[in-house]
Amino acid sequence: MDTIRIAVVSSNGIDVDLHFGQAKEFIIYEIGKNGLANKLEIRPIPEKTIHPAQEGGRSGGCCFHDDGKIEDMAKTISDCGYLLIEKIGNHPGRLLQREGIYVLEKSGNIEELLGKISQYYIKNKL
Amino acid sequence: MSKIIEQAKYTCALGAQQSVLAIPRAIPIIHAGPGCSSRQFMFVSNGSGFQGEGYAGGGQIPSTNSSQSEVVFGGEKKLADTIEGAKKVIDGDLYVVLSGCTAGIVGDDVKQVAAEAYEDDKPVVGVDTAGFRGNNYKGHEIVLEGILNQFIYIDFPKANVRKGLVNVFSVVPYQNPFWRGDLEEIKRLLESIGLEVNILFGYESDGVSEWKDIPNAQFNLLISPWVGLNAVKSLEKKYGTPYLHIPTLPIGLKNTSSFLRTVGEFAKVDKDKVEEVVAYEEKKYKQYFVAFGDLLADFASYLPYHLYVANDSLYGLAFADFLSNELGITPKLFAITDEPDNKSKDFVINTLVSKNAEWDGKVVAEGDNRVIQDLIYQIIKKEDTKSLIIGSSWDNELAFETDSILIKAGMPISDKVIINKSYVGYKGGLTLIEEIYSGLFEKGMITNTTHADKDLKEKTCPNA
Amino acid sequence: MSSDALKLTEVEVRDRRLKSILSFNGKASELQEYSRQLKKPEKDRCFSQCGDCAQMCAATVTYHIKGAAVVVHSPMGCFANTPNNNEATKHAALERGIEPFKVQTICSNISEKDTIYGGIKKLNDAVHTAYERFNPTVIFIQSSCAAGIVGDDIESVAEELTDELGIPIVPVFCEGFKSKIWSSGFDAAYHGILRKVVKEPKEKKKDLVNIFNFLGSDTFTPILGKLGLRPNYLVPLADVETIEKMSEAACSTHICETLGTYITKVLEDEYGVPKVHAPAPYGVEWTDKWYREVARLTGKEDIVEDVIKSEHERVLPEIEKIRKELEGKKVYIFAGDSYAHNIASVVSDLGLEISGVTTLHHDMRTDGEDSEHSTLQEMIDVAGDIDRFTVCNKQPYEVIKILKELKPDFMIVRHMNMTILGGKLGIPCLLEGEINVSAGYDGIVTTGKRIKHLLNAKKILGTLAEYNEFPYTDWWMNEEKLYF
Repeated sequence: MDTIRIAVVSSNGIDVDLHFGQAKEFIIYEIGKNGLANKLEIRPIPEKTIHPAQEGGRSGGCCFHDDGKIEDMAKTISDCGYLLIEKIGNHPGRLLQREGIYVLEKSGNIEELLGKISQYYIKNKL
Repeated sequence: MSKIIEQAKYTCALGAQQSVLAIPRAIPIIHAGPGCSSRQFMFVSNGSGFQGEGYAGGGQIPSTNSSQSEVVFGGEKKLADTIEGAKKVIDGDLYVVLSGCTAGIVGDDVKQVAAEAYEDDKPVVGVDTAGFRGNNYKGHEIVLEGILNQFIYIDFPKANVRKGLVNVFSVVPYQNPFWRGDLEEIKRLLESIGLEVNILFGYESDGVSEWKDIPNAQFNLLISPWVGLNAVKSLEKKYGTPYLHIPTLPIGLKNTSSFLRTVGEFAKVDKDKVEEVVAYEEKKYKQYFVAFGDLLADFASYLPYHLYVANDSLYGLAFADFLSNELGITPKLFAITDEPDNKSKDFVINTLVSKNAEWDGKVVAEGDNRVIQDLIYQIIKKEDTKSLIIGSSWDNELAFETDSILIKAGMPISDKVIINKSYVGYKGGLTLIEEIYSGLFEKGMITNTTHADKDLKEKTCPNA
Repeated sequence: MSSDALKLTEVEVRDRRLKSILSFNGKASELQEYSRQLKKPEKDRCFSQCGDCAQMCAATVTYHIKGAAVVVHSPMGCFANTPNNNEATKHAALERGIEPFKVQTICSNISEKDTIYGGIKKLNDAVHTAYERFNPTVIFIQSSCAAGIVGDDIESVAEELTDELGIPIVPVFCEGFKSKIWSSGFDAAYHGILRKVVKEPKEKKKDLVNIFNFLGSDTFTPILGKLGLRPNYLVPLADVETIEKMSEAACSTHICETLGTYITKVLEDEYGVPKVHAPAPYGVEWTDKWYREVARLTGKEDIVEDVIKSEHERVLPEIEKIRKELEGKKVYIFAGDSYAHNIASVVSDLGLEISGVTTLHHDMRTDGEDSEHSTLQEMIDVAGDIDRFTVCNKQPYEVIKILKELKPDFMIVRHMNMTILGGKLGIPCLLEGEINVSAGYDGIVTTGKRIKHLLNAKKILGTLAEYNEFPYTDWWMNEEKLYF
């Protein structure tokens, strides 16, 4: 099985607990051939322009981000197959997917969640 | 390798949820996206003569309605909860979990989760019928395999053979639109020569108790070119049960008599009994046929003499055989629509051609009905003989424009109501004859003189 | 007044954008209060029966556009195309006085091999095939769960092929699993249309009113005609040119807020086409309000009061007549969000007692409206508070309990596969389809007449109920809770 890297967004290194708009850095993990996750490094997120999300009623909902900045972010984690984050809007999620980074939204304990992704990845060859 | 499709003749593997529903008191549980179950039902219900939800189908089918994230992080738990809920809320004797595209990639887990939910009086099996694995013919086979491997083989590992007991594997429920009437007639025919029948699907089946009885059969009867072959082979391997493979579903006198004799011989039924039944049925049939003969004689120059069949391996072969051999209609094209693999496709062709060489070179495999229509148009354009088309509701306009008689015998049939009609057997053959030749008068009476050539034609097709 | 909406590849799903929910049980006024506060009233279901998906809703928008082709990038299951689509288009077209046309759709038929190597080549071939076979003026590409999982980049394919083929290729991101609220599919289709088809207005047509509807019949020509205005029916049956020019209308409205919420808002923000901020014209009061709003936006204030008055004089006596014939009858409404409110408005004018209402989901907000505006509140204003108000995404195992308890005389249903539930209980159901027929003052009379005919079904459905056996366990039917 090839190794796969996962970028995780977290406020405390223990839980996945931030939205896209709140993220300041990526924690990069690598899942090795033994299926276990290994923390590699922390990569800061380049500065970006964000308008905070407004509650409903605004067409498109969610944050509006500068597409160029999202593409820069994608480049920062271009070696990663997945982004694990609590919440991200459809639009930035779609842009990341186009760069080959598959977005998985879930809050919870990083270790546990990485374990599930590892199992899933082994089975589906994506 | 699947091709682009414009006019659908089948649906995806998950369509096999309908096969589960066809077993009385068997409950499908869908582990897939939110729309999957409902879309299958829409296609099948609209497309097989409004066969509705029945006992536990349609909007009642439990589903995990899953997103992909859910599958990665908690699909199993959600599925387990849904299965528990289904067992508590819906009264059934067998629960079959079918997973769709979103969960299909982790198919093994479905089997595992099902196994964990298994109870003796509420057995649960899990199969991977992800849409991209193939069409619903394939899905049907997957369901058969799943029920056998995860339920029957485990709970009933030993056979207690009962002479005269036969399991029938034949039409694909709903996908073959007349399946209910077909199975009733098949059962009746087999019982008439003294056999005890596990028909397994449909309203005359006792449901799960028949499935539990499968190991005890004297033999398995596969009435189908290829769908179900894996199941009977597997049963032979597991229990040593021999199987009889009759690829041609019997329609009309010749094929039904041959069917009864072949089965009777294989089952070692008293030959006299078989001949008695055959004689009785043939006598009746011939009288009907002869009485109908006046029309044949009078309208001999107006009858349809060219045959086009667009249907799956099972129905298509049956119609092609009966219509060309017993009714003498000249083969022009048989388009096999269920995407068989090469081996199965060749088998269908050989079966047909070895009996009637006129079919040589006239059989193709094509899943897109639009392409089939284009082929038919091309051929009919060069002919001036009235044609009979065995098609579907896609072909109303084709039939109208080419002045052909259309019998709708394959999915989708969305402009008729189908309850228990069948074209199987002696009776079915006569029903088919009735419909074909009534088709001569669809646009009004034709006189039996040369004036018929000048009959007025309507400008637009009433139901295109 | 520009919005950021069109810069987004994809519109946000309703679960987040409108905080939509799938379960509630209580009074309508209580739900309205939860909505005001954007508070989720109940837990999600643990056990669910099958739902529907965004793909299906997107198809109701894209499949019936004149001159368009649709490529469904999915395995065969999502395609589910039968001649019924052609029939529906034909009948609707004849109703509207348009030449009937065929639905032009193909399926790329994603196979197992494509899930491993990617389905982009398949998709490319499918779009080319659609182009050659149909010679369309626009091609929509509908995504699917399978395409989403494989990660096929539909957007790039669309961009490349737009250049190559010279016609708009519109990606519609309607994967079923994206949203629990299947109406998100409408937004996905509309968003695609807004991004790739709708053009800057070249002129403003002062008498043209956009009506977002389904394959609806032409009831709005007389309704708007009374104000000297004309309807611009969108999107089914419209051709691509009409869709391109929707930005030129004087204002936009719809037959159901759930359908039209997103696109009317974007048209207002992006192209200055004001949205009619009044509920759709269903029921007398709502129609009065709607007329006044439309008149205000089109400079017809001077005649609208007379129109309303003379319409009342014309139609109210007829409504009164039908009221008498339907007196005492109890109705249960089971339909989509917002449209169920429309129905409640209509039946309250017919003097019918509303036993209860179930909506298939509930949007807690409407695009571009503040928290006070909702068709739910408008419904309460005309029909009174509904004590038995539920929200559930079909779930017949839940609704059957409500129906057995309330025993309505008939139901009005707007969704597939749900009338059978009523039928199996011996309750006649009015299956709503294209719903333009129920609009306006005349729509109330039409609905009343249809109900009268409907009640004849009681006898044969009684036989159905007699022969039927439900699959639900005794345990469940005796359980008090409605879901778990």
